[in-house]
Amino acid sequence: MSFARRAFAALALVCSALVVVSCAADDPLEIAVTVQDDEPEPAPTDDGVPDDTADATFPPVNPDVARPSTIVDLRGQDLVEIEIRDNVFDERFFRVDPGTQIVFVNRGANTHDVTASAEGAFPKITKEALASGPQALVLTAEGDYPFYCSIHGTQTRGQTGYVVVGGA
Amino acid sequence: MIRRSLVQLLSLLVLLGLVAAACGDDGDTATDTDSTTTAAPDDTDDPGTTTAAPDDTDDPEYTIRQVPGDYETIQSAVDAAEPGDLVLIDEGVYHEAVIVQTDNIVIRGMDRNGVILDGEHAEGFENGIIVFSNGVAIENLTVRNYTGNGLFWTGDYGSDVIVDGYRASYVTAHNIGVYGMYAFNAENGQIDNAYAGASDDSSFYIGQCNPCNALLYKVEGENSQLGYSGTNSTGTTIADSWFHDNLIGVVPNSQDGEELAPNAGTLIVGNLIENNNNPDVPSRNTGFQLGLGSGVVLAGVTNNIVERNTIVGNNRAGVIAIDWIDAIFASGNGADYPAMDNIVRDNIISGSTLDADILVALNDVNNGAQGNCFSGNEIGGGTNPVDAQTVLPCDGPDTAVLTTLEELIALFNLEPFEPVDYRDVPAPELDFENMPGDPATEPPRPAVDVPMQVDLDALTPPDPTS
Repeated sequence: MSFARRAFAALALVCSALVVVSCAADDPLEIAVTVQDDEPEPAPTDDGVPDDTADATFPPVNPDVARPSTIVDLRGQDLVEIEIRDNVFDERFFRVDPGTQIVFVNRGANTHDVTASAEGAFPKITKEALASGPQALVLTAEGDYPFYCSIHGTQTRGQTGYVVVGGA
Repeated sequence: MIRRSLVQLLSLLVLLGLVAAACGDDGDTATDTDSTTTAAPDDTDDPGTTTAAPDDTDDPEYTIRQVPGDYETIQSAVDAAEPGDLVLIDEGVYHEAVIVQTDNIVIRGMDRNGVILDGEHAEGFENGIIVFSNGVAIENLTVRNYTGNGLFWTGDYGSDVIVDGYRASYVTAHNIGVYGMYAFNAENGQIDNAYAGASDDSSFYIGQCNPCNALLYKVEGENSQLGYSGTNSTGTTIADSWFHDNLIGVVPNSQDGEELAPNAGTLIVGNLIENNNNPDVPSRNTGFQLGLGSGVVLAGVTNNIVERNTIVGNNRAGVIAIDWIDAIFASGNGADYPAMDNIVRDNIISGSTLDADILVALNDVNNGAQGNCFSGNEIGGGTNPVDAQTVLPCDGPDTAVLTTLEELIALFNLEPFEPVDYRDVPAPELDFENMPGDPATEPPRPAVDVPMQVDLDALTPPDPTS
């Protein structure tokens, strides 16, 4: 493993960013935790060979999604609840501290999911999981995390959301 | 418990890859066609065939983009299309989930029963065709086996972007995870000569619009939880259509799951709504399961009109005016909405075995009937309140003594309900009527002047035997 690759892996471990938490509605601290594997592959180059020399960044960026001009500041809370209705996230654009439990609750009549707009940013919260009850997402790495519902939107249209972690 | 595994990561990447593929704009999705189109894809930037409209029409010039002749996939043809163009799809089965982001295009199959978009119930294939753009028309094709919706027009929620203009004509949707045909945050639309069946929620759904200015005309909905559902959709007309063998037939409703409550105007006219007693349907809402065997349920709506329909063979109730009690019908987190000022007149209603050809079910029976009235209906059996047209006439005083909700729910005496998986409902035989004219040569008609005008006054209660 090259130095760059090791550095990338170390960075990913330090970020350890991506925790999806299943939790009861009335007691989100009683949770089962799943952690995304923590070593994303470097992006391949045009010739298909992984580019070990490239600077690794995390979270990954989706260049098609710009940061919204207005973002609601929800920092200073250990837990924030994001209500899902048909067909919207509410709040839609928000900022939290690293490590905040972002609890998604589906109060719509439809099924919904929470999908990262940048591949590998965080594990998908499936419609089945959300149908079973509130689901929490914990992001510990600072950065931008656009997301969407893959049933009612695309990365850029329809039911989309955007969370900024930290003060950057 | 914390688990880390490479398998999980690989599974996630595959999953996300599938999602990305479904939402992508290129042509790498699998296509299984038996096309007879022989034109090979060429190397030009715009391989479509430009057609000049006849001089004696107002039709503008447009480009025909043939699939798979010019484009390997429907998605790639749609992405290349410009406003006014026709995406013309040859016979075959297409495993795609199409995203439309160009205004005023027409997507047309060469044969309604032979051009099939098939999601195969696969992850990443939520919607057959999802449309974010204005004026898009979809014609003469079938969508099936999608986990989300068959045809889906949607504005961007949370912004001022509302879809303006949509049309689906001579289309079929079956075995769909949520809605067969779904218009949300969309205005000025029309679904006509369409069939939708075996949907987990409703065959047809119009939601969150005011004024919707939407028309469902000559559609058929069967084998779903609801034949039609209209949440917070003020200004929708359902005419000359057939809803049968669902859990419930037609359900305009108000609720806080989405914006723009209440539904303050649906016109239901000239429809045949029969035999909605089918327990062998998919169903995802335990509240609606209370209504098994109902023809029309006016659930928390105001100023809806039900007239000149034939509503027969729905063995629990023909027409129900009922308050929307969120704790009963939904999560309990939303507001309740009263059923108010609805008019039910000049229908043929029969078949209730519970003396409920007409049923008024309100939360506060001391409030009177909240302006709901019944006149001129040909009633085959009993009503609740007794003799509803005498005690709740549309041109006289309200003198009804109402039964409480609790008593009515007990009256319905619903047995435990085991819905069927939407994937397991038998598919319809694909022998539906094609669009008129030659699909290959009919000019594209984007949905810019919809809904069409229908002579609603000419509609009479349909004959259920015809």
